[in-house]
Amino acid sequence: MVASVRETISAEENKIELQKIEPQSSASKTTSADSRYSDDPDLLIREYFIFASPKQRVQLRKAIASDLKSSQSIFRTLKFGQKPDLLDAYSAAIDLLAEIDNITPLTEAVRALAEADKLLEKSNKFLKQPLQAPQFTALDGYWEILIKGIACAYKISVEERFKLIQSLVTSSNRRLVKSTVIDAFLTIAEDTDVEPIKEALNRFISNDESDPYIRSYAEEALQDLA
Amino acid sequence: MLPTLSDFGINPPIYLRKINSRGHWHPQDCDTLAERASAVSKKLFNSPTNVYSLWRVDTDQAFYGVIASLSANRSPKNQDFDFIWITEFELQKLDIKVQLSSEGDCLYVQNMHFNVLITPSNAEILCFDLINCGRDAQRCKKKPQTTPILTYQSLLGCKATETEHQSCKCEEW
Repeated sequence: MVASVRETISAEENKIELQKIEPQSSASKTTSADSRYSDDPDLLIREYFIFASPKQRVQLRKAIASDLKSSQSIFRTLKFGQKPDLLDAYSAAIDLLAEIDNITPLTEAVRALAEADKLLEKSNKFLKQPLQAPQFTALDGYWEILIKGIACAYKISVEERFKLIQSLVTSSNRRLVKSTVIDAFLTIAEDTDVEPIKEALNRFISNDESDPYIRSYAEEALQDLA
Repeated sequence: MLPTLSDFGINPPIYLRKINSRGHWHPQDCDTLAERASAVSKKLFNSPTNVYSLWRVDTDQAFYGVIASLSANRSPKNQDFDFIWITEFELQKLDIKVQLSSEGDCLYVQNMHFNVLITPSNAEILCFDLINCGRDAQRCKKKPQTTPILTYQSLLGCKATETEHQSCKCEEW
């Protein structure tokens, strides 16, 4: 299976035969070579990030995204998206999540990240420079890609996306998470009524928000919506 | 209306570097300029090879071409586009040399792409200098800026966009 995917990619960059790499097809599951895929459902995610060029990724996305059905697969995507040695990995991860048509794995990933965020914040109180800890930096990267991916997931209804993004408003005290949430609201604003979005953004310019950078960031976003 | 370089405070020619998020230019809880420069450089210049991609932008049209080229493989194509810009002098000060490396589908800017080698220590000094002179990360915003640029490029026949034209107007320029 892996070999056939690689051959297909290298042979015809612009004519990738997606049916050959479709993991859900019953025929493909009956071959012995595909036992490797059964053992490792994230095989195609690795193919996407490691072996495909940015152009090839465009054509692989739809097929791979249809198989991102668990929060584990989402986390695998988030992890690859942070690898500095892979070309355009950050954008590639967002674009892959944008093709998902089911909110459930994204919601599960959000819950897991929010729990990790809270745990880190509690434990981090014992560090001298708490917010610069490497674990937080890594978590920020996960949040960024996940939130942007949710905002761009055009196959999921805008109402569901809005609800999930809204649930993130108070999920983290991290600056980068908040600014990414604000960006996400702007991304979906084109597809929906802007009044609920303005209401959500108002929280970031209220006295509840202690970070002046975020207050200014949210004010700019509100101006963009005006 | 199409944005211009002056909308972003840019006086060309400059080198443009795409960044993942303009939020990375403003890391949290950095008390000094040196701390901020260090945090920014670690976020923006973290390639294990130390090789980075820069686009030379000398006109508004070149800027549009770069946006089209770098949006070509995105989905959706019209997204916020965050970037920083650096002058030739700022690179020369650190003895950072640019090397031409043809890139992307926009014929107009294909040969305006360069690779540069920036060591972590040079990246930190560069970020320090840029922040110190008040340079901010910029955003070409999805709706008012990126979308009109991509529409314009498509009407020209730019190969980096979904266009109905066989050839690009830029081939006649």
